[in-house]
Amino acid sequence: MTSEEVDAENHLPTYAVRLTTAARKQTSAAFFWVNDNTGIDATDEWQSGINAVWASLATLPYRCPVADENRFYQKNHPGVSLRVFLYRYKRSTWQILFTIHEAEDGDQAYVKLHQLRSAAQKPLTKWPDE
Amino acid sequence: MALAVMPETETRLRTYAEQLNLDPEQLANALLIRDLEEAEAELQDTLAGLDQSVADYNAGRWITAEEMSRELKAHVAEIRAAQKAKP
Repeated sequence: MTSEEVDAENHLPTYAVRLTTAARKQTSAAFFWVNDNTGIDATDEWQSGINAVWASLATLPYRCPVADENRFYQKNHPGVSLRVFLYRYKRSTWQILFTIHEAEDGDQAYVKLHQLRSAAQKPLTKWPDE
Repeated sequence: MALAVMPETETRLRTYAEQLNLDPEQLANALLIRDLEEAEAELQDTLAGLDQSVADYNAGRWITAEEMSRELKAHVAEIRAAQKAKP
């Protein structure tokens, strides 16, 4: 086996990373919140960090756990797992909620980023119907 | 009565309950219900937001991470330029 064949065999599939309108707005809001609270140098680091997050989701999205909200999400969107990536920067943490979509009907495989929210929000404990 | 909370929390809870002339267990239940209600309201918001984001995506309202990255870098450049321009 040639080195090229080994590389090809080890090559990981890549996913396009796409942000919904909500994720885009929340990412911008988080960017300006970081800037207001820490200054532009830290904000530049923050945006480099989130770029690195997106790059890692493009190659290894399945390593992220299923989100707590998944069982509720599944009620309206069966068959697609809602996953979460925790992005930590200094003392703050953001949850990136996303779903993974394999290639089909001519569209490439992609990761859909639904929301970026502060992880300071309370964990979910109960569903109203239960 | 044994409350399922940390000893320090129980002390504070008993102090507040005494000040409010309430039974500590009743106060603990009221606080727990309030926490659950807040968590449930937050869950409903999150789920509504997720449904909306799916609808937006299906309507073609999305951008790539590369585009978003360029947007953020442009913001950084604008902020730095504005800071430099300050006297």
